[in-house]
This record gives sequence, structure tokens and C-alpha cells, in this order.
Amino acid sequence: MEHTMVNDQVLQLVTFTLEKEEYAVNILNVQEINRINEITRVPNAPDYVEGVINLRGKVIPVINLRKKFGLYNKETDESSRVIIMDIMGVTYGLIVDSVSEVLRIPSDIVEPPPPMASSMTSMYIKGIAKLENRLIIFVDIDKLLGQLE
Amino acid sequence: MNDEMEEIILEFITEAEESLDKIEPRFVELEQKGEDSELLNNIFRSMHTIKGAAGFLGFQSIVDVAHAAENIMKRLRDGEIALSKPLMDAILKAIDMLRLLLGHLKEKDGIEENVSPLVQELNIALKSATPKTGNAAQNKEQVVPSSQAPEDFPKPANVVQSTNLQQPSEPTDIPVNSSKTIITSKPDETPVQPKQHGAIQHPVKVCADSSMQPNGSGENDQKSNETQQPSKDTSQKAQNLRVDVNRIDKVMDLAGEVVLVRNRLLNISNYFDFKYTDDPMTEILMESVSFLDRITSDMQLAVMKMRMQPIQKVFSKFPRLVRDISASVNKDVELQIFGEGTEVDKTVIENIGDPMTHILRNSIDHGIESTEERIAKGKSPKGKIVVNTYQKGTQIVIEISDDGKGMDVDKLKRKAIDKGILSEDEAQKMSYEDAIDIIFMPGFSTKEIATELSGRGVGMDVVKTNISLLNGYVEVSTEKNVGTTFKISIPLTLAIIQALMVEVDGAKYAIPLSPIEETLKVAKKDITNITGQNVIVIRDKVCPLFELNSILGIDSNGHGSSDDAEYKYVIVITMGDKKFCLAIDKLVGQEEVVIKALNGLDTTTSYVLGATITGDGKVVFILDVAGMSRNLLGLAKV
Repeated sequence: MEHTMVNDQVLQLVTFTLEKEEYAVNILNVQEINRINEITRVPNAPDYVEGVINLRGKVIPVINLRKKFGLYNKETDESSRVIIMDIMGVTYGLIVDSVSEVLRIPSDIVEPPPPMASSMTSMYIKGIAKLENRLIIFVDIDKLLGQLE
Repeated sequence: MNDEMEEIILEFITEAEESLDKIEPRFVELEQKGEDSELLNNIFRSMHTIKGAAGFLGFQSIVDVAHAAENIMKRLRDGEIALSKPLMDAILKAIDMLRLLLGHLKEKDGIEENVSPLVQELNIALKSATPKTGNAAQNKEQVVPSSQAPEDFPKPANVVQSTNLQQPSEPTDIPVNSSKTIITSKPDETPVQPKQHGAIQHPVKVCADSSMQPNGSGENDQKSNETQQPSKDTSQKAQNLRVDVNRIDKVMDLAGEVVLVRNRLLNISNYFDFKYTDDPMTEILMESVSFLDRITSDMQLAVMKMRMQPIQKVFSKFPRLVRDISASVNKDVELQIFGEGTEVDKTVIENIGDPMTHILRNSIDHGIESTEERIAKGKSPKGKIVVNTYQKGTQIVIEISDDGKGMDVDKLKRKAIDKGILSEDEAQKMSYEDAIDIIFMPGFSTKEIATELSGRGVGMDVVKTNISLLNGYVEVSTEKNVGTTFKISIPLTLAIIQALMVEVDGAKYAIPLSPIEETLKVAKKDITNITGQNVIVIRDKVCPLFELNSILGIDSNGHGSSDDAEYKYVIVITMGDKKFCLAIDKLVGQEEVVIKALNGLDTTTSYVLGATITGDGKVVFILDVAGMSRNLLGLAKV
């Protein structure tokens, strides 16, 4: 990850929304994007673990990113998606409000996250990409999911 | 480094590790049997194989260690020096170092170990070894016939030939390496120098002797070295195929998929059979599906067998382990292993090692008495531990018995009270069996002072955890001054199990069938509450009852609230000697389920041992009743 940021000129990101903010993850981690189908709840699991889904015969855990980021909960709707990600060989699904686009940006417009009061969430932020009239929060997916195990 | 080279190195690591695995038990055997030239030869050859291959690949530290160890082996084999404990210890240390070095290679972490102190130690051990004078010659004679065909002995030509073969293929590394190896050991033992040369000659000669002719390629050279075991071994090998585990797992996964599709097809065809009973095509469909059903089961079995390995793989490290532990606590212990050919699933092989190690440690450290104590009790001065493995139905049973002092139940209770694990009151009410189970409680240890081996209060609880991860259970039986037996039962395979599907609060769960004793329909009025714990009476026995939904932390939100029902369905579960009941909403039926691993999910608190996918594509969790029994009955007051 670090490596891509420093050396490569162009970053390819998949952007998605939660609430009104726009977030992004590196496209290299994204395996596919699905609509939400049946989720089985996991007994005695933390609340942000929405459950598990059957992805073509593989059972993978699904994380509700809203809950993980401490945003208020919202029922999933038509635009809700599961981003299937591969993090160091383990597959996870992330529930987001909607998936927007694939973005190619020069890596030098990503700035380190500003020091924020809520360190809980800023831990998972790798940087902020400043585009003309929007700010995109670049999520540190390794840190976010690394904690779950 | 290119892929091909990497593959060669990987192969080297696997083979070297296998050789080391083979060496260790032989060593311990050697120590017990005394000097046995066949064994010595075997060890020597394995060591030499490692050295040769490492030298070819340029792993200097491995070469140095193997060489120093080999020197000792060589002189032992030739009967020049007598076998002694310091020598054995030195060589075993060398084996440990080799393992460490191989580990670094495997991890590619680039860590270099400083091997020179060990090499020096080995050389010193060799120097200070007692020379054997009288029967040296006689011993030598024994050696010759037991090695390969005697006529091979004077064949220096082969040596030249094969070293020449190696050199051109790695022109830069090899000459430097091999000369260095010889130099490092020379100064210490000048008089032995020609002999040393012989040490190098011997296996090369064997290698030329084995049917495969070295033909220049490095990999082949290694292979032929590897096959230098006695001929019966070679013929066996020819029928085996070394396959990457991942490939087998892939086939296993696919077979699992096929099972799921079959389940789905069965559902669909049943539906058609019901709806279009008279249609001739329905009958054809039913026929094909039932045929598919049959072959799928057969295929599943066949794939499962592919993953089965003799449990010997795990047991082979135990003789060394027992030797080391008993030496460190100054006890004399003999280990006997039976049924090591029993085949178990790969997952069992991977996970049974740790718990068994803990049990063995425990038996040696706590079970077996000191030699004096044993003599005083009129027992044989040598302690005995017997490991017996056999298949019983669909279970693999491993029994580990010692003939030590057995467990003192009162002492166990007292200790647990002292440690605050148990209250005086609880201890009073405890049954004999429960009291023995104290040893599995986290934080429990009877040893006053923590030794290097045990006594820190970790260990036996790990045993229980690991074994329940394998969906198995441990039972302990003990008799004072006669000994203690640990009996581990594990299902044959972990990939596919028979399960009972149940429903709670609208969600389906699978419960492994093996621990289920019976299912009951219980009237609500028959459930009594004793000090906050629900119980039911089954055939005059009181049995604690738990609501499955509260165990699983599911908020019951509306789904046919179970509290209103006049009757409850209850599953009676037996884990080892413990019994408890689970109340559920609905019994769905029995199904053969494929266990899917749950990656990326912390399941330590969720009582889930895996998940499965049902015929309609839904994910259903398989519940960990062993975990439940452990946690719930710890809290239950009954």
C-alpha cells in the first residue's frame, strides 16, 4: 500500500458513499461489487459484523461500515452494495450506502489525514484526496479489517 | 531468483525436514537400544543427504552444522567412539539448529544464525568422546554388511565422478563451499582426516548404487540421495505421488461444491416428483439425481481419503520429546507407541500435536514419579507411557496412559480453592469426574513452583480447546498409584459431518450429530428452576437446560416467540461425561453438511465451529457444542 502511494504516479480507487461523505479504497483490493443478498447473522458477534454471506460457495464475513465508523444505522436499500475485498488472502464484504465510480488520481494529491478529535475513526484513514470540489477519504483497509481477527 | 530455483529449494526444504523427522525417533531408539549399526548408518545417511543438497544449493550454515554432526555419526558408525549422552545431546542440538535454519529458509526472512558456537561444541563433543578400543574392529565388520552391497565399498571412482557432476552445474558456489566445509573441521582432528574423506565417499557411493544414475541435474541428484533407503522403501515410494496440499484442498472444495449442488438438485427433483408425479420425465430426473447422489457420496469419500495420512507423522517427534522432558526432570521414562499407522485427516494431523505434547509433558512432569519413589512403591524404576491409537466407528481414539501416581482428587480440589478458581462450596458438591476436570480449567496447576515444562497453569486448558476445535473431546480416568489415562476422541474427518438442523428465532443452525444423545419434546411445566438455572429431569436424572437463543445472543424479536409455546423441543447433548440440554424452537431434520471454514471472523465467543451452505444457498452456522459445554457447565450450578 505505502509503496503504491509513494512510487506510482496514478492511484486507482473505487469510491463509495456513507452518509454524505465520499470514501475510497484501492482498486487492487476490490474483488467485485454485489447487491446485498441474504445475510446470516453471526452469534455473539460485535454489532458491526453484519453476518456472513454465501459467495459462490464461499462463506465470507460482511462488515457494516456505517456501524464500524460509528455512524447511525440505516436500513439497506436499493442502492446499498457489498464491496467484496481481498485483504491478505482473506475475503471480506463491506456494506456501503452506494458505490460511485472508479477514480484515477495522481498519488500526490492524497494528503495525510488531518489530526482529528475522533481518533477512533481517523485510525482507519490513510489520507484525504483533494479533488476540484470534493474531498475523498482514502480508507486504510488493512488496518480496518486487520483488527477484526 | 527464478521460479525453478525456488522450486528446487522448496523441495530441498521439504526433503530435509522429512529426513530430520526420520532421524529424531531413530536417535531416541538408538539411545534405548544401544549401538545399533543399522540405525547409526541410517542417521548418518540422512544427515549426509542434507549436507550434500545444502552444499549444492549453497546454504553454508546448514552444511557446517550437518558436517559437524556427520563427523560424529561417522565415527560412531565405525565404532571408533562410544555412544554417550553428551554426544547424543550435541547431535540433537545440531538437529534443532538445522530445523531452525530450514525454518529461516522457508520463511525467506534472511535471518542468519551464528552456527560456529554449535559447530565448535560438536567438535569438542567429538574430541572428548571416549574412544572405543577393544571392539572397534569388530564393530566395523558389523557395519559393512548392513550398509549397501559390500562390493561397492572400494569405489573411489564414483566419488570423483559425482563431484565432477556437481561442479559444472554450479561453478561459482560449490568448489568454495565444499572446500570450506572440510577446512573448518580439519584443524580439530587431523588424525581422522582420511576417515573423514571416507565419510563423504560413502553416501555418494550409495547414491551411485541406487538405480537412478546421477545425471548432472541438481534436482535429480537430490532425489537419488533421498531414495537411498533400503530397497523396500524405494518400491513403496514408487506408488506414491507427492501432490501439493493446496491442490488436494482444491479438489476437496470442489467436491464440497458438488455436494451442495446435489443437495439442491435433490430438493428440486423432490418438488417435481411431488408436482408432476405422472410425467415420465420426472422419473428419469429422479433416477439421474439419485445416481448423482450415489457417485457424489463415493467421490466425497475418495477425496477425503486423499487427505488422510498416518498419524505417525505426529507421533514421530514424541520419542525425542519424551526423552528431552524426562531428562530435564531427571526421570526415567519409556514411551511405547501403538497404532501409529492409523489414518486421520490432515487437519487432525496439524492440530493434534500440541495437545498431545501437553498431555505427555503433564504425564512426565506430574504423573510419573521419580525413580526412588517408584522403587519405594515397588514399581518398576522406569516409568512407562503408552500411546495407543485406533479407529472406533467414525471416531479416532487416542489413549495416552502413564503408570504414574495418578491424580489425587482431594488435592486437585484444594488447589483449585487456593487459586480461587473454585469456591469451598462448589468443591464440596463436585462429583469425582468434575473434580478431575479441574485440570482443564484455565489457570490451574498443582506444581508449587513453575518449572520450565509445566506449572504455569497453561497447557491442559489448551488441550481441551484444541481438541474441541477438532470437534472431539477428552476424557480422563485416573487411579491412585496406578496411573492416568487421557482418552481423546476425534471424528475421522472434519470436512463433512452429519448434523441435526434446528431452528431458533427463525434462524437455522446445524448441530453436529455425534454428541447428540436424544431429542425430546418437553412440556413447559416439567421445566424447573433451581437457583436461577433451568433444569429438566430425564429418567430420574437432573439435567441443566439452556435456551439456545440466549446462548447465541440472539434478540428474540417476534419470530414465533418460544416462550408462549406449551411444549419445547430439547436436544440432549453428551460431551464426554457431561450432559446438558438445549431448548430450541423447531427440529428441522438431519442433513449431511460440508463444513466451510470461516475466515476473517473471530469465532472465539460465538460458539460456531464453521458454516455450511444449505440446499437453497443459505449460510447456516454449525454450532460448537463442545465450546458450549465448556463454558456453560463452568457456570452451571448443577
